[in-house]
Amino acid sequence: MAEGEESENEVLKEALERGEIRFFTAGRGSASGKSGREDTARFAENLMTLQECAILLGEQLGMHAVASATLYEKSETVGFCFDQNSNPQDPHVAGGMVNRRMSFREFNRSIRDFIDR
Amino acid sequence: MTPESLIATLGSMRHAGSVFGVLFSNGTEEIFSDLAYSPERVEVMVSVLDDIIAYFDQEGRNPDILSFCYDGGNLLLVLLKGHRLVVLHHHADEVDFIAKAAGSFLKDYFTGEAVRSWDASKEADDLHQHQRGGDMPQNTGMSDHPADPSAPISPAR
Repeated sequence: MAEGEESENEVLKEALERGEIRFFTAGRGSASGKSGREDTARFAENLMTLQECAILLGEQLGMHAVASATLYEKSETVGFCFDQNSNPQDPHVAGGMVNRRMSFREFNRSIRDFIDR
Repeated sequence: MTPESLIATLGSMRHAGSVFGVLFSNGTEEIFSDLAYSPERVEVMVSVLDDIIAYFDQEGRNPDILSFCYDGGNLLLVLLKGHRLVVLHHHADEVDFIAKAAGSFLKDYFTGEAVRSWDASKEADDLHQHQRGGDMPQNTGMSDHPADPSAPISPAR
C-alpha cells in the first residue's frame, strides 16, 4: 500500500472512531477527499444520487435552486451543500459523510463551515 | 390511531411553524393530503417520489429520512414500512423538529396499526374458538343433538 493511501486510511479510521464528518469537495465531475479513494468514490455516488433527486424534485415543485440535500441511512448521515461562492455556471459542492445520525442543522452547518474555511 | 386522530395530528403538523404541505401515503394509496399545490402538481411530485424510492430499492439501499433544501422552500421525506410522509416547509432551521415530529407520528401510527391488527386477530381467534366449540359435538359425537344424525354416537359408559 502506498504511503499516501495508508495515511488516507488513517484519516478514515480516526474519523470513524471519533464519529467525525469526513469532508469532500466536488466540481467538474470529480470529487476529492482525504479519507481514501474508496470513501471518496462512495461519497461521489451518494452525491450524484442526491443531486439528481434534489434537481428532479425541485424542478417539479418550482422550488428554484438546490441549496443542500441530506439523508439518513441506517446509522449514517450523508449530504452536500452547494458552494454559494462558486460560479453558477461551474458550481462546486462540498459534502460529508459521518457514521452517526447528526441533526440536519448541525450537519449542514459543519459543511458550510468547511466551505468557508 | 383512529382516522380522526390521524387527521388531527397531521392537520396540526400542517399548521405548525412554516409548514405549507403534508402528504402521507402507503405506497400509492393516499392517506392524508394537505398541500398547497394543484392536483396535477401533486401527481407529478408523487411520481418523482416513486422514482426516487424505486431507485434506492433497486440499489438495495434503505434511507429512511431525506431532506432537500431549496432557495424557495424545503422538503422532508420520511420512509417507513412502505409508507411515506412528505412535509414541505419554508424555514430550513425547522427541519430537525419536523423530522422528530414526523418520526413520532409514524411510531404512533404503526403502534395503532399493530394494536388494531392484534385486536382483529384476537377477534378472529375468538370466533374460531367459538365455532370450534359449536363444532365440538359434531366432531366428538358427544352432543345430545348431533348436527349429523348419521354421525356415530359414542356409547355412554
